Amino acid sequence: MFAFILRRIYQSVLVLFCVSLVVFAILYLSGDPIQMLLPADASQEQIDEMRRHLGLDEPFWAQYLSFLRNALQGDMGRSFTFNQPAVKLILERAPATLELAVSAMILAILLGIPAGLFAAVKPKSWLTQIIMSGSLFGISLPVFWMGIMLIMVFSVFLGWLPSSGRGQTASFGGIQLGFLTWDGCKHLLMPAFTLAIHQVAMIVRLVRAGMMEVMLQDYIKFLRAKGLSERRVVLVHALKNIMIPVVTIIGLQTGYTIAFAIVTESIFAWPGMGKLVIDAIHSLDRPVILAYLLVVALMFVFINFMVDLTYSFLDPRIRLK
Amino acid sequence: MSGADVILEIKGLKTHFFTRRGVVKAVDGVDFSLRRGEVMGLVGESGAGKSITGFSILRLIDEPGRIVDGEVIFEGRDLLTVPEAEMRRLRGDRLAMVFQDPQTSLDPVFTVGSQIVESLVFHQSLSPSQAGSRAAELLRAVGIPDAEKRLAAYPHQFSGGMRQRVVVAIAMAQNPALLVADEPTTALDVTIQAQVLTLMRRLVRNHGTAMILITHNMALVGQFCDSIAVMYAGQLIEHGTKEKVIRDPQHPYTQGLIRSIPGRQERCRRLDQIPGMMPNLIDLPPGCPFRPRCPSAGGDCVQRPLLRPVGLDHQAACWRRNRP
Amino acid sequence: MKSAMKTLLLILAWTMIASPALAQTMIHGAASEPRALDPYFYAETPTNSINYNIYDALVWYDHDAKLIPGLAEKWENPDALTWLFYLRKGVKFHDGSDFTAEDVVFSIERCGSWARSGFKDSVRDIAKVEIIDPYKVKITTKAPFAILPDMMVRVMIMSKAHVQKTGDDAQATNPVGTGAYKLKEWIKGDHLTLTANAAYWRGAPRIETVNLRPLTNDATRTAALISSEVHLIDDVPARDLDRLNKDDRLEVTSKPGNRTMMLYLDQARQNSPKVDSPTGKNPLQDVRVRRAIHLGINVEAIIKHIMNGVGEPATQTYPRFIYGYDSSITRPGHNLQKAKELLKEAGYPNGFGITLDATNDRYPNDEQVAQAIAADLSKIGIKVKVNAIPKNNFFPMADKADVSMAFAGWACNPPDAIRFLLPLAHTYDQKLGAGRYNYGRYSNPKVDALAQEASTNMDPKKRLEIMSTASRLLMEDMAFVPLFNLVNVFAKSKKLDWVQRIDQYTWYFDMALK
Repeated sequence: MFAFILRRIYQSVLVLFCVSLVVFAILYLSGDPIQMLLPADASQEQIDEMRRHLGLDEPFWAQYLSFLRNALQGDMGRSFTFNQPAVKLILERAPATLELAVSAMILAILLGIPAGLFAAVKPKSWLTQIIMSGSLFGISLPVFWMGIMLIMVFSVFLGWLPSSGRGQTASFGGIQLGFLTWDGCKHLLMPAFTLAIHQVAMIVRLVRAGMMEVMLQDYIKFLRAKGLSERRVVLVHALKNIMIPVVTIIGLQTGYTIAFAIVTESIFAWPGMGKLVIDAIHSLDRPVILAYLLVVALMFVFINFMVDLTYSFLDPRIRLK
Repeated sequence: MSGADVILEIKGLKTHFFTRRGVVKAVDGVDFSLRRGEVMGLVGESGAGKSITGFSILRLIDEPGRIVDGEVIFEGRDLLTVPEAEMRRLRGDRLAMVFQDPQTSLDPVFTVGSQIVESLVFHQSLSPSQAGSRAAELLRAVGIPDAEKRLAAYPHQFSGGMRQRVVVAIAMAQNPALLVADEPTTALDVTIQAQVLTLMRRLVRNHGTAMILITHNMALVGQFCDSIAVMYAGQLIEHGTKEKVIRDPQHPYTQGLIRSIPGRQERCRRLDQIPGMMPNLIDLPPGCPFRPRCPSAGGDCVQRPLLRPVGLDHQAACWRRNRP
Repeated sequence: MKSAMKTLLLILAWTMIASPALAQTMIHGAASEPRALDPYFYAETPTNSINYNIYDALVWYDHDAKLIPGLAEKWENPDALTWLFYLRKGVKFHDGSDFTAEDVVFSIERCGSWARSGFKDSVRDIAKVEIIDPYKVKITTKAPFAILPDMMVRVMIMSKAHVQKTGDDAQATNPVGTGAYKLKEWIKGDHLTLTANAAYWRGAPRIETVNLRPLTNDATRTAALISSEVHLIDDVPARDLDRLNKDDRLEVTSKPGNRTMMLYLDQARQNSPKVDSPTGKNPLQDVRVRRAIHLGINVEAIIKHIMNGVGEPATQTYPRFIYGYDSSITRPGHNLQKAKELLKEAGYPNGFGITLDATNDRYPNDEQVAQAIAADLSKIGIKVKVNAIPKNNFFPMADKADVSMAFAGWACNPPDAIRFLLPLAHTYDQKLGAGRYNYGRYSNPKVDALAQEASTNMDPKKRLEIMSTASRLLMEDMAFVPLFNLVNVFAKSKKLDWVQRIDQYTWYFDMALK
């Protein structure tokens, strides 16, 4: 187990190193951040001074090595555009993104798994028809459109829910969380639902396909031959058997949800990392982009680790090696 | 073959599969009965409807299959009319089943113990600890060493033979009146086959359980059964005591099957094969289904022969043999 | 169970606290979030806008970009190099300390010397800043510098004591100014809350609390205004204008900004790199060709169909409130016939081929406008290939003058034509630092002379004359092809009383809620 964790850390450091090099190179090639840091009418002197100050006049390798040296000491640098430590900027915004992503995934699981099970067990029911066409709809709906529609209906016409922002948050262990307050929950509902809708559709389809396959297995017949109730056969035995792919997808999707919450964040003015990073990419704010990659990579490592742990819990044939 | 001793009587059982390409008449009018403690071999080639017959008895037919007609009278009740809840209570209790592949008949993600315990809890309302010790007892009874410890193991930690013993233990847990064993040893090594079958026969003998042994292996049937029923294309074509069917097969198909046993007396002879293939069950030709392959088919075979007595405790469905 | 109840009560208590006193809170839905509250860090409208609410400068503008006194009650220039600023007495910083000449000197120096200062250019012409007395400051410029008071608008005054105590980097999030509002809270990405500075020297602001919410998505911003979640939105998307105009609770306001969109034409080289000329010469060197291009582009149609009406045709290279604008210059209409004739006269009856470089992520609809220009010019025979690229690639390329025809904008800031004449119209001269953004390398000694004179002449009337002359010369030469001025659109609740400013800043001191 310990060796497993160590190897995981080693792998992630390696990945991180490669990613940082590639991103650094791409950023180096994609233009001059100075253009983004100074007004359009800046004088050449001003531009040269700023470039020297930020070390942007050095060759690529020198810049990368000095980045690496600082990063190894835990210093990702100060944001070019905010003049604040890049890691602090990211960490300030990470809880909002995580809260949104996790709420969306919980919503997706709570809606997706029962719906998928139902659709597999009662393939001919009218409700299954609705679930399956709904999930097709959900997969093909553009998130953007969905979000705007929700705002139009629930904020503009009905006035039930706030259109944007995070609302009131409460501190929990020093982290600001919105779902601890009623106002925060109201603000969370639409963005989380918007972000969840794709995931619901995906989980429904995955659960249904998995169930339909598992339900044909001999052991399901044997369980029935033992006289077990259909509920126990489906909810205990079949469900646990399909959980491996489902957990895999949930893990993967949680990562994607974090990384791609940007569209939802932008529609609902959700103060997460996504918006920050898109701006950082636009303005070639290298420290913020690299700090974001680091934080997100760590999250991915953590999620993968959780998925692996869940695997070994779900399937005795899998052992952490 | 009648009287109070009969625990299972099947009459005119028809199980059809309504597929997109047409109706597959997998079981199409099967009649037989079974006495308490009788071990019957149900033989035939793949697709003959043996397994479907077995599943039909327990009413475990999946979509798109459906039992369309017939009666399955078990301990005096027609199982086809029993409500599902009552049927569940019978399954695993009075009726049990063992499947072909022990690799796939146990849920891979639960311990063996929990899979035994769950049916004990359901059928006997035992407390978890009582169920646990009973489960260990059952494992010991099927010859699994170190039973208490093995309860916590998962199916993949057992060998094939051991796994099938576990399956047998689960099936026999409630001393069922009828055990349907669907090719229980086909997937096992030859040496293990005999061990498991011997174990099963011992258990059914001890508990007075009747068993339907579904197999395509005539040799096994000869070794382990009291009676033999031969199926072909969804129909029973011969049924009788082991001695009668093996020594004096009446149906040309049965004769072919028996000739194909690698027998001791005819060690050096080339094995006989039955020419041709079983017909497609979707559009079965009228009349005797074996007619296209039958060496002695004649004009009267265009009508479907019914199972008729051809001797004491011996029936066959063939125009040629039914006539003295 | 008991602890569960306690938790529930706590949560309830939180939600109770969560309803703030709504008395006089103005909520501003902003398209862009400020970057840093250090007023010298980054020069862009959203950041400056919030900072002008927290800080004051010595000099300030009214709605129409006219200079008005700020922290300096008055100023004078006894000679061409010297400026005296008389400071307001009794002004206090948010932390209660007094504002004095010390702070002015410190601020101007920090603005020019702090390594991360993005405002160094604002004080580059200053040679020396001296304290005459605690309320009088003398600024000496390196050369006669007529727009120094405008430049002093840019230098917001910081508290010397505060900056020295907390350090340079802290200013990004911990501002102390003399402005009408103090920073209360800034949750980045979610909201920035300002509270009124009751002791403000101009008088207490009428709005107690201002909440700035970054609503970067256009549709969301509009929805928030319609659903009354905000009182004011900036950068109103053109496609929502109809809808907002119809809502009788709302009001749309618009004013041209200080940015003019135009074409830069390569006039220096015999062989321009991106021209395919039948004569082998660079057709853009001929003023008739440049005029033909001017006449051949249907600016009104571009404004109507591509800009959704948000724009006004440009008569010259800057809009009318820029000091130096010549109101006698009128815009000739779109005239294909005349354009074709001019081309023929110039020896290009069948036109020529050229690449139009443009950005695709810098100005509103930049790529589409470039396409429309190409389509218009094709009607007079000029075959234009549009190369629309990200601004990160475009500007370095334009800086190297690696363009033959480029579409971009320019904003005079401060709103004085000298801010166009020197960096764009003047001959490219690295030593002088002039013509730095003269991508077409236009060069006319007369214009150069006028520009230099306007930058050193201290008489406003004379300057206006000089710069108007330059404006006319530029149009005669068709040195740049001015197309249209961008218009800034805000929308607000009718409950909010406010007059839009030319400089796009949202100065909350000016606002009131009915």
